[in-house]
Amino acid sequence: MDTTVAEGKRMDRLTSLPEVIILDDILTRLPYKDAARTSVLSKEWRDTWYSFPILSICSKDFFSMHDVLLKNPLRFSNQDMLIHYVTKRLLKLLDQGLAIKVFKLNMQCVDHKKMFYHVDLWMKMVSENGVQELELRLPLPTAYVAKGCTIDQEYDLPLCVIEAKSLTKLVLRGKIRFHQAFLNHSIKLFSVLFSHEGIVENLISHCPLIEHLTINDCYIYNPLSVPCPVRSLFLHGLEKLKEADIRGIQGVYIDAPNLENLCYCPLDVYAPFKLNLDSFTNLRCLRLFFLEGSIITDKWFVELFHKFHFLESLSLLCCSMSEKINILSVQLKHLKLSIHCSNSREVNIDAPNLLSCQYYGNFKIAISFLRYSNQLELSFNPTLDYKHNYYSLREFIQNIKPQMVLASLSLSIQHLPGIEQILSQIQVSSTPPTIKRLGLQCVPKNEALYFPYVNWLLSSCCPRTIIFILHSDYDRKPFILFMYELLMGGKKWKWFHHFSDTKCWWHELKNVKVTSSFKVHENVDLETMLDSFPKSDGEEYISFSLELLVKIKLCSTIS
Amino acid sequence: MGSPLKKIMLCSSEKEIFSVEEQVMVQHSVIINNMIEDGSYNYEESKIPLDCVDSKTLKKVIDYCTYHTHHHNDNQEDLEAWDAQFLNVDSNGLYDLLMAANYLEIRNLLDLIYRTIKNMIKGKKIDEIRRILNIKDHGFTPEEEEQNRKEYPHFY
Repeated sequence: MDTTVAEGKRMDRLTSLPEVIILDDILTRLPYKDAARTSVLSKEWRDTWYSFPILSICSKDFFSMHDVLLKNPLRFSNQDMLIHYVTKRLLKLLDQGLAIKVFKLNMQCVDHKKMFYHVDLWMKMVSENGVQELELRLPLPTAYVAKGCTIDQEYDLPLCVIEAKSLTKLVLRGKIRFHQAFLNHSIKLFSVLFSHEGIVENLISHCPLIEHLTINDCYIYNPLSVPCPVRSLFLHGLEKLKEADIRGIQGVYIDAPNLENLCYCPLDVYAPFKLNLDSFTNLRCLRLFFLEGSIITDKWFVELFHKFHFLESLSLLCCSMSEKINILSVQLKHLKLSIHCSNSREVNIDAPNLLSCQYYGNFKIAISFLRYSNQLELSFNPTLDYKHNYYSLREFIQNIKPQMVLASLSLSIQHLPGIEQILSQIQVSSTPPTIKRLGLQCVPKNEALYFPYVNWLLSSCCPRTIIFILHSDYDRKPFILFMYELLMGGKKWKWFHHFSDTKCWWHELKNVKVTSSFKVHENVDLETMLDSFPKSDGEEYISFSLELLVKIKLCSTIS
Repeated sequence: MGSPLKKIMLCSSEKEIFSVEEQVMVQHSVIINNMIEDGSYNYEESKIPLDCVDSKTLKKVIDYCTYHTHHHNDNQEDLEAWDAQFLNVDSNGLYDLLMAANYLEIRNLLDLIYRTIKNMIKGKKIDEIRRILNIKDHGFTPEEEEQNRKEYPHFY
C-alpha cells in the first residue's frame, strides 16, 4: 500500500469531520471567542460555524463605548459590521432550516435609532425559529449617568418574543420596556431576569409555571427625573418556583411554598427590610447578603435550623453578626461566611455533616470546629490589612481549631494592599502549621518585595501545594520563576544574609513538582510553560507540589 | 457454569478479532450494552463487526475501557495522568479515537477527547491551530483569506 497517499488522505481528517454533530460538540465546549475563531480556520470549519445554533454577540467586539461617546465616525461602519455579521449568521441558519437555539445580544453602547430596527428583525427571526434561550442586555441607565451622557430611548420588547413557544429562558437587562399587550398573553418562562420596570409583578403573574426567578435592581423609569428603584415586590401563586434570587428590593413577599433556593439582598443595607422567609419551609439553600443591624444573633441561628429542616447550604455574606457566633446544625453541609466590618471575634461550628466551609474576611477571628466530618474541606480567603494584620496570618491559621482540620485548608491570597510594609520585618521562626494548599491570586510587582513576601507566606504556613492563578492583566512570570528557584535552593546565596544561620523548612525540600492546568509539551521547563499559558483570565493555573525531605508532621508543634 | 468473566468478540475493519470481558464493554459502550441487553448478541457464534474501526484504534479503545473498569476507584489525579498519557497521540490518532468513541458511544472517552481538542484550540491564533490540527489546505481562495483577515483581524 502506498502510505504517502494514505497519509495524504488522512491528513486533514480531524478538520473535515464528516459528522457536524461532532464539531458542534467541540464548539459548544469552547469559550465563545475561541469557537468564533474556528470560522476562519478552513472551509469545513466555517460551514460548521454557520450551522452552529448558538449566537452570542457582544458590541464591544466590534466597537467600544469610547467610540460612541466621542462620536468617532468609525463607529457607524463598525456598527454596520455588527449588523451585517448577526444578520448573515441568522440568515445562514434559516437557509439551512436550522433552529436558533441560543441568541445572546450584549450591547454595551448603541446608537439606538438604527440598531433597534435591526434588533426587532432579529427578535422576530429567532422567535419564529425555535429559540430556547434569549438574552438581551442593553446598557444600564447608571452606565450613562456615570459617563455624563443621556441616551433616553428605551427598547420595546416585541410581542413575538413572548409568543415564542420554544422559549425556556429569558434574560433581560437595561432599558427595556414591555408593551401593555404583553400582559394579555399567557406566557411560560422558566428563568427570568429583569433589570428594570415596575410591571414585573404583572408579567410574572402570567407565568405561573416559572421555576427560576432572578430579579436584580429593578427600576421604574420616570421620564422627568432619575429612575427610581422598585421598593417592594409581591408575587402570588408561584407553586412551581424552586429558585429565587432577589436583590435590590427592600420589601419582598413571595408566595412560593416549594421554594428550595433563596438568595436575598436588600437595596438599602441600613434600612429595615421585609422578607417572608418563614414561609419557605422547604428551603435547602439560603444566601443572604448585606443584612445590617444585629439581626443575625445566636438565637437567629438556633431558630433558623429549627425552622428549616432541609437547610443544607447557608451563605451569609457581609451581614453584621454578634461578637461570638455559634452554629449548631446536623443537616448543614455547606457553609460560607464573610465577615469584614462586623465585630465578630469567634466562630464555633458544630456541624458533623459539614462538607465545605468557606470563609472570607478579616484575620482577627478564631474559627473552631467542634464536631466535624473527615470529608470537611476548608477554603479561607483572609483579607489583608497592612495596618495590623500582615504579620498575623500565622496567628489566624493557628487560631483555627482543632489542628486536624488544617490538613484540608486551602488558603487564598487575593489582594496585597500596602505590601511594601512587609519589607521592614523579616520573621523566621519554627515550622509553621502544615496546610493543604496556598493559592496566590496576585503577587508583588516590585522585585524587591519578592523575597519578603515569600518569606512572610512560608513562615506563616507550610503548604503542600502552591497554586498560582494566572491572569493576563500583568505578568506573574518573574515572581513564579523567583519562587521556584528559591524553593529549589538556587537563589539561596543571594538572600543568605537574611537567613543568618536559621534553617527554614523550605530549605529541606526534596522536590518541587510543577503541573499546569493547560496542556504543555512534556519535559519543558517552567519558563516555557509560563510562556505558553493561554490568555484566558483566571481559569488557568500553575501549581508547585512540595515534597519534603524530612516529613513534617501534619500538625507541627506550635511554639 | 460459565466463567465469571464472560467474553465477547469485537471484529476490527481488518477482520482482526479481539476478545474482551463483557463487563468492560457493557459498562462503557452504550451500543454494546444495548446489544447485550436486547439479546442480539449470541455468545456462541457472533462477533460484533466494527467496520469503521481499525485494529490499532480498537486496541486503544479496549485499553481505555479496561483500564477505567479496573481502576475506577483510583484517585482522580492518577486517572487524569493515565488519560493524558493515553491521549498522547497525533491528530490522526485522535481523530480515529474520536470516531470510534462516537460510534460505540463511549461517553467518558468522548468527553475526554473533546476536552483535549478544546485545550488544543483554546486561546491560540489561527496559524497555530492550523498547525496543531494539521490543516494544510484551508480551502479558501486567496481573496477569501484576505477578506477574513480584514474582517476579523483579532483572530489572527
